[in-house]
Amino acid sequence: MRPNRTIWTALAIAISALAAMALIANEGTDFSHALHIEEGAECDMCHQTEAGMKLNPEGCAECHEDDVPEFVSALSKRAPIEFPHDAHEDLDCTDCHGRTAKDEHMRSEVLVGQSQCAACHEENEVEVSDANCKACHGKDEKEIRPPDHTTLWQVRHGKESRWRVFEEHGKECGTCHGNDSCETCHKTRRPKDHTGLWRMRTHGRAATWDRDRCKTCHEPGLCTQCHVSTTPLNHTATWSKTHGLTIKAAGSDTCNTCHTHHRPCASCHVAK
Amino acid sequence: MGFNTTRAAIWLPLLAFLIAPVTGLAAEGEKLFWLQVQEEYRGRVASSYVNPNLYSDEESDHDVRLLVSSGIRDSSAHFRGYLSAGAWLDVDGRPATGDSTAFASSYDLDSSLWLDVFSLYGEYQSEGMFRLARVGRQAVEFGLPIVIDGALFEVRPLAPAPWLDIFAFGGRSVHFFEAGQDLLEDWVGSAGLVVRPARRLRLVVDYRFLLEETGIVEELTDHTYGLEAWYAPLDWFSAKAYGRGIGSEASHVGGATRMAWHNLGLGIDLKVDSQVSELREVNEVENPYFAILGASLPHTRWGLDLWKSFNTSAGDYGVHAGWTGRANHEDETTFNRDYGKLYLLVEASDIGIKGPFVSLTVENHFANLTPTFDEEGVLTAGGAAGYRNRAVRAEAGSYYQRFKYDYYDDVKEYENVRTFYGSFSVKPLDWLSVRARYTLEQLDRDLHTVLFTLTQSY
Repeated sequence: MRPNRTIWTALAIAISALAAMALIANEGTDFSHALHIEEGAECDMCHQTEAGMKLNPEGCAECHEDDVPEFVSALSKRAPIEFPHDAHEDLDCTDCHGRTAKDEHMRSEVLVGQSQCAACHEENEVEVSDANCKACHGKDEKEIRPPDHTTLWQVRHGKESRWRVFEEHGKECGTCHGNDSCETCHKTRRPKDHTGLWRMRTHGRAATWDRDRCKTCHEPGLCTQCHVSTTPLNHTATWSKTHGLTIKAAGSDTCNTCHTHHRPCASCHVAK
Repeated sequence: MGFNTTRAAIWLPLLAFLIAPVTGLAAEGEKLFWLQVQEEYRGRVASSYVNPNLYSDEESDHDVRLLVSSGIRDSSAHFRGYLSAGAWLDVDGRPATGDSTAFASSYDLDSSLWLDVFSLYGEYQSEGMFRLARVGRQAVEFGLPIVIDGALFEVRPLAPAPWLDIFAFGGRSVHFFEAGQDLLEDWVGSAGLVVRPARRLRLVVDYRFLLEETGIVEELTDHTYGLEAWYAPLDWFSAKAYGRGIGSEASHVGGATRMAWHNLGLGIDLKVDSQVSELREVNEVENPYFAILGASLPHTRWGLDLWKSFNTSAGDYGVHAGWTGRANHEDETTFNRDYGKLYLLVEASDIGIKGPFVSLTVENHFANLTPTFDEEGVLTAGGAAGYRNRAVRAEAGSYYQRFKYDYYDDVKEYENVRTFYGSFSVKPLDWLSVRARYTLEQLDRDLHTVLFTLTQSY
């Protein structure tokens, strides 16, 4: 049962199209923080420090007059940022948002990385309570996502979690997820290749290829649970006549898995 | 594993003792307790058999499942308790022993009711010298990961300076898919150091013993030890190197690097692990399958993983690709094969407007070190599309897998399975979500699976 060539062609075209869309898509908006700073703009001309850093269209209009871009109006209606900026008023904006000042597309590192917060607090010996997340992250903690929790995070989170061995604020999964949330998925949801056919026929081959993968979830007792009592699928009604062909192809090692002690060859194939 | 009342009698009182002060210290208005409960029904029906005489005449199966996760802490976050457990019930009875059925699962074969306690522990932790004391069923990450019923202690003698931690743990190992109670369980003890000579450098030294009660010989004691070095000199670069040994032999050496430029949406992961000695009847944790699959021969595994994301005004896009492999140091044997896999995943979300998403995936598993697309191996291709927002998620997708067998000398027997699925979930209330999923798998029969899941979070 070979797949229809049309399916593969369509799939290849679809993947190519999607990849091309991703590559040619316009990255970020046209807004450039770098250009505005170069022209002498101050941060508080556009950001209202007293109102949670909401955009101030009137500030933009000081330079742009009647030509304020449409997105400014939309962004000015967003909820204020609840981060306690007033507690950091001794700092320059660029002390934390240095990359933003150089940003030309309003997309890279607008928010401050938590490692940067931690380094500064550690250097100045300013303690922050882990229990008081709301102080920096706002009232709705579930709305705050680390910057790396974006596209592809679902497939990468396992690898990423293994690197989180350094004690850094916000780097422990348990801060938001609870220590046992891994099990909610990983002990209950099967990998995508564990299909019905996998259960009956193909898992053995997977074990010959990559036995270390099995132990991620399974223990060896699982093998014996089935194989001690379940007859292999190729042991059909005609098996007594065809098993010799299998031995010729694959050798007798597989037979010995079950038959060494109970049904050795000589019990049927009596030497003449 | 099934429920073990003897163990429960030990760790339930311990947990109760540890979390008893918590309720008294709870401050009003703080979330000191969380609970997630999930109830699920799974119904499966088989139809359209290609060869109805070859297999069992079982045509349907009905299971229900209950999952519970819960945590509790006091207002100072010094005392904490966790529980994660699941129960499965085969409503219409388990299949007869020896039946070759597409419906069998690890939960069917022991008894109709299966109860697993994944973790259940209480702990005390602080920023002072006595960092952590945890008692109960827990996963331990020092050295090779292991689940134990026991105790773990961590001490930071120079606190608050983080230069040195000392850890020790011990107890009875726990495995979750055993054929019989305690069949593979060992007594385990471990001790070690975590040294941080610099903020971005972490060294871990560990020693562990396992006392195996085989029932065949009196007892076996395995001694394993390891050294790990983690180094992250830059925000975008981390590296790890390690070596492990068993008894007088080296067992593993390896390393890995992670490079991630989040501002560019780009990452590269590389890892190499070499098992330098043959692992046989030593150490169940390092080599749990020797009794079933034979010795694990020396080999090297590797993985190269690349990802790139594009967060744009026209949507978020991601490309994820990689190559993993396993090469024997000497000739292949059964269950010690050379193997490789190439994979590609392309994702797009919030395309044009917020909500729509689409993904496409292709995988090729090959029984060599280099790709053989049309010969032995497994080829998988599929995709999904859907819509999601805070309250609703709808998704439909399909996967195709192709396999080849060599049961007979010259006959190339191809098999495939097509999977179609659709799922819909809705969150009508902050604490409640409802999910329904239908899956059709087409192989030598049609397998229809319906899942209906309720999840409550408090």
